[in-house]
Amino acid sequence: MCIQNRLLLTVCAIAAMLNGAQAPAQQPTNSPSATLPGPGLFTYRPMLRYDKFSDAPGGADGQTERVRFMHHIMYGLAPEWSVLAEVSIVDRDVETPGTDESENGLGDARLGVSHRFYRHDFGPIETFRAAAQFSLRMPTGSDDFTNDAVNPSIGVSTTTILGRHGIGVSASYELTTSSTDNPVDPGDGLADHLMLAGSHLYRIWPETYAEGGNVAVYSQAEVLAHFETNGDASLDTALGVLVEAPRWAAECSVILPVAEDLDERPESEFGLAIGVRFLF
Amino acid sequence: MKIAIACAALIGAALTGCASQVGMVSHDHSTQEAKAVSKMPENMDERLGSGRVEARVNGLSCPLCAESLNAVMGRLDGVESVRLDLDRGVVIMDIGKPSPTRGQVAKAIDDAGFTFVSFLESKGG
Repeated sequence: MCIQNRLLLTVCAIAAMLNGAQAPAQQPTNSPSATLPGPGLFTYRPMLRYDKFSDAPGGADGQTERVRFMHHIMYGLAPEWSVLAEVSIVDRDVETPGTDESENGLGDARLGVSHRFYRHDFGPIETFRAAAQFSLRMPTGSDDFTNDAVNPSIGVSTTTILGRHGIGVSASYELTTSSTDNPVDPGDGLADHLMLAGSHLYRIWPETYAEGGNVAVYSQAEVLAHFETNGDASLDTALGVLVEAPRWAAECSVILPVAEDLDERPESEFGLAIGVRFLF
Repeated sequence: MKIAIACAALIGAALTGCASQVGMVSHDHSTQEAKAVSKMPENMDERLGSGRVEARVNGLSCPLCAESLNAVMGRLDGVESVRLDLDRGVVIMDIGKPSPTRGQVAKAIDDAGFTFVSFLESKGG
């Protein structure tokens, strides 16, 4: 990727961090949660994600580096309903024997709705929430990055907060009706995609909240499993930190492959996600 | 390999799910009055007095989740400022005039995604 593009993406991320609005949190960086914005409120999560793969797209010999600047927006329609939209700008370097190509453009957009169908608040901080998500991946991306079809996805996620511990479990299934020429992510190829995820957030600081002192630092650990109907499967772990302040939150996560059995898409070496969250 | 990955994922998901359920049961015993949906106050139409009013709220799971409550409460007529004491699960409001009713405050808390428990003794109004 060229230096200018990297600088542009970095400047965008830093500018977003300095924006200083309110943010929703206590949700892991890489997997869904049952957290919804209140009615009439927006949440905005810009995130910079870097991935390195030890193959070329489609699993061919080579190496791939990719940076995505992802934007995730949710709007609270009603107390238990929200709509969501996700778009990304993608920059990808692909090295194959004898070639070195750089591609950039828009990724496919995702539009959806989330419904929190169960809420049980059983203590000042303690809560158990469950939500269902339905979304459509739209073929709005550039030629190199689009799945070229409308792909529906359904999912369920739960979030449990127990004092300093936050536990998340989620499952989602994407029905894939077409494919990119060179798949990179699960669901890019012509195969349905099942994702199972578990997460644990631990409030490192403070041990107890003081009145008005609402800054918190969490550690994050996630397990992300991907299964595709073409036989590809992978298991990743993600470790990170989440910082919440009264007006903003920031997150950082390193994604590492644990086990991979892939024929149709490249094997991952690692990923890095840095983002912020705002609520307004 | 695929079987191993599948088993690891399922066991992980099951363990976290079980852990969350165990935690819920133990906490339920300590907060018997908490409900899945807010229990509205009996005198819903009674207006709150001006000054400082405190309400017990459950589910204020994190500072920035609770900011959602701040934003929704701030839309109520008469609510001049809102502060949160997350550790006690208390919302502290400075109420002006015209003051909102108890029911309006309880419903705003519920609409924001949290569970209203009760009003505490007011301090100054």
